[in-house]
Amino acid sequence: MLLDPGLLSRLVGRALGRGGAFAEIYVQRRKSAGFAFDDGELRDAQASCDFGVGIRVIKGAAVTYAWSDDTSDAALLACADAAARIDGGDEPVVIARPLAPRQRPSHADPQRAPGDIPLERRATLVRRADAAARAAIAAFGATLVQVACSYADVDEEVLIVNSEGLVLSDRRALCRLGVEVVVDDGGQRRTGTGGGGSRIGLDHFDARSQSPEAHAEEAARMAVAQIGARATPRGDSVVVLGPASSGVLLHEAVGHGLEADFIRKKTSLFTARIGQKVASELCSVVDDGTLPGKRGSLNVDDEGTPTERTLLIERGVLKAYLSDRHNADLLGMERTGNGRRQSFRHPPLPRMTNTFLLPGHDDPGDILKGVKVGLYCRAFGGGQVDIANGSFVFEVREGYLIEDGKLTAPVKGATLVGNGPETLARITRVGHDAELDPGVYTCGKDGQSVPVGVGLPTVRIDGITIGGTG
Amino acid sequence: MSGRADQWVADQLWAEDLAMALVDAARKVGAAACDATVGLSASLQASARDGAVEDVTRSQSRSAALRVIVDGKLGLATSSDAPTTAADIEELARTAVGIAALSSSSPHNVVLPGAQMTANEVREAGEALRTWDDDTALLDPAWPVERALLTERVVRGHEGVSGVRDVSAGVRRGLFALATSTGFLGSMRGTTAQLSCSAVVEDGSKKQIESWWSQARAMKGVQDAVVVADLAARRALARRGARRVPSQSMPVIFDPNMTRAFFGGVLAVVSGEAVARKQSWLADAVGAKVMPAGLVLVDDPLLRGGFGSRVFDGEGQAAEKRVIVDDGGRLTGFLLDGRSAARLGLPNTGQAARGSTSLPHPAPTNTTLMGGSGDLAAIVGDTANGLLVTKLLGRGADATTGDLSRGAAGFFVKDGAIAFPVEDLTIAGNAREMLLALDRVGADVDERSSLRVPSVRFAALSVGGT
Repeated sequence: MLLDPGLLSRLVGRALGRGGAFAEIYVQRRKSAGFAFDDGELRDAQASCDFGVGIRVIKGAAVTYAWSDDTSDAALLACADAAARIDGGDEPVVIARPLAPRQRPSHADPQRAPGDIPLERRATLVRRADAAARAAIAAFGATLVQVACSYADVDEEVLIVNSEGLVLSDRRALCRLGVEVVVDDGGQRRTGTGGGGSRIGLDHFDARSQSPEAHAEEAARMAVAQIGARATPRGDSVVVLGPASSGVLLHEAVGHGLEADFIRKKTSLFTARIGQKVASELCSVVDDGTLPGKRGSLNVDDEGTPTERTLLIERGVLKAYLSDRHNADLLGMERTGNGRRQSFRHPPLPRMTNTFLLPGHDDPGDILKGVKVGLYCRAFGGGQVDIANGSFVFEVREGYLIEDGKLTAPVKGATLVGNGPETLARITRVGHDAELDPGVYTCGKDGQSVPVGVGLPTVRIDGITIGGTG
Repeated sequence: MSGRADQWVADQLWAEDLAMALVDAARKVGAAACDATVGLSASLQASARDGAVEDVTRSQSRSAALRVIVDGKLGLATSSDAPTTAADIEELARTAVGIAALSSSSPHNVVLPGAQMTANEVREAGEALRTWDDDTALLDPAWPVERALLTERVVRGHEGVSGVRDVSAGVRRGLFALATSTGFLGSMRGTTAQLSCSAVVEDGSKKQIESWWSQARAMKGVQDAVVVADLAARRALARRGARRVPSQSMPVIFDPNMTRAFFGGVLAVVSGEAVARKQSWLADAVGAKVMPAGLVLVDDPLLRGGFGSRVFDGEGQAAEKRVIVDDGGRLTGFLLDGRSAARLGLPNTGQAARGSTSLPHPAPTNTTLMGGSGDLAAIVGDTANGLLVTKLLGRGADATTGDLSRGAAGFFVKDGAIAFPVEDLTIAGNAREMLLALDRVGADVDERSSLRVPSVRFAALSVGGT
């Protein structure tokens, strides 16, 4: 165990010492390694070790959180005392239950954790990706400007203990490879990106479809496909979203607004709308932290609650929110296993895991054929949403004009702008090609980053605003 | 000197000693060239909701990193908790040397000779920069708790405000030490205090949320709670009934918050690292006119009390004031650190930023856009027909092309006055062209962060709407 059980019991007792109703100790030891390959050199090689403890005390709506990466007994007891200083009373009123180790489910265990594999083997992945990207660009006959590859992995142990007697250990791995290729287009630059990863460890990259070569070739393809890109016509348009990575739009435009903290604070426009129609009948949206090995998957969340498959929207009707312990308790709803945190330095928040739109019945080719004029979006860059009014913005990284049902010219500089619920209401076709992204996304909220999965089948939206210079 | 003040100095000496010990350990295991960083920090933050304290968060951190260069190969090993025993120190050194062996050998990997200052001189020069306040460093919970409660009460008292997203106040202290194998040893420290407030306003089936924040080196420098709450409430109330306007090309005004976002993107591509990676739309612009004449962009690490102030950079170079864009509007050069300067074959400018567990990288310190006149109201007053942007969504300009397309909200300006709120619009342009198209620049420089910029107006941008 990461900390001595006797010390853990003392920490829980001290944390409850001044009137708290619930206390939790989160212990985390994270080892990570990263390599950056750019301009033909393996430039940065980094290894880090992070070990620390976060202690949380709850009473009603009040939460105190104290963390320390000084893990001496004295520092941790001081940390527990700091967390204990919650409003109201100086006497313990809740007695912690004896600690009882708990079994956990197993959706996201590493097959071979990165920490068990020599660093050289991990560094090889970026060298292979770099070589493959260069070869692919040469095969296309394009002019290479730059290749940048990065690899990062995490191998961590967490221990979650609380005053209800929970003792739960988990080992978590995460690997991610990223490739960026820049090519010349008559003096202009075109960028393509590829990459992937998962929680299963280094074996993830063994399959040809997930190999460094495959990700490098995808980045090269995307960069070359944009040669000759035109300015994007501005204004309202029919938009077809390609499968998998377009799920980032769903994540931003809908997912965040369903997180229970925003519901409790009444800052989301989905507040108090359970049972109401919030999207087209073709839309059913799921958050699923139990998908085996996926980037957003977890055995248990960062409060020790087993992850779940949560049906958020069923045929357009809002069914559920995503909750952590604190917000679920205050709202009087079930916990959904979505209490996540970036590290011991952060209190848990309701967060998504793998969030996706369920497949429909349409053939993706037919969806495209039915569009006279529109925009096809295959990959997105950054996106942002204002959960109060639902406004969102997405940068299209790879997009094409649709003319008479066919993809014609690539476009550059396009931005999709819209409103989450209004856009969901305008979904008129949903493909049967549901896919999750290749495992590269990181979601940011309140200064905390966590790995997530996003997904979407091919979807047609009748009317979304395109911003651009055209 | 009080007992507490003695303790702060003792912390600095402890961090310096640990950095030295790490450098010695790395040398013993074969890293002739290396440097070590040590960080110590602590913070306390409180938030309020419905008249009660909601969250209180306290932190204490000590972390260390060792950068080594062995046969031209660079490796970085970091640790938190910082190692304190000889065995842990040696382990970190061995990890750094071990991982360095995996990287490519490059003549660009160097540990530079540092500033000719003793650790004592560095500490004294640091005092003069006024980045530290003893009272703030105490992290007394009374100030954040009382500020958060008061601010939350005031903002909820505004008619039309239905709630808050987050109202919080916090204090933080931090210190950073650097030791290099070339003999530099120095440490610096700083405190900050901040207060932020958001207001939620119902707007039909939607809500509007706006916020305001204040930050200073000392608690006493933070804007009054009532002012912060009033600004948040007024900004949110002004957004009710926001609508869209037809697509058109028109003058676009940025308030200082938005100007900061824009110039953050400009400075990101003035970074020598971005240039070396060929991801800069200003890569070919040194000596060229990039802004209208008369405007000056200055980076000054020696600014008193600045949020980016420092005596030495992340590689131990003496900090110096530099003009980035001169009064002829010309870009004078890039922001450089040791590695990016070597890659580009240019003299180092000593602008390495560095955290306690990261590699150095070139970044601005305190950057100010000077040479403007008037304020936001004056610029609005001079605009017959235009868009005032107070909120941007999405990412900034593409680093390689400068193409920019973002979601925008704000106000429609007609006949020199604000006419009505707008939202769900886009603005698009090219950042390089936009810089040259600055036709009004205010003197209302926002000093709440290290990037200090005023309100500006772009002559014409493409605005997307209905």
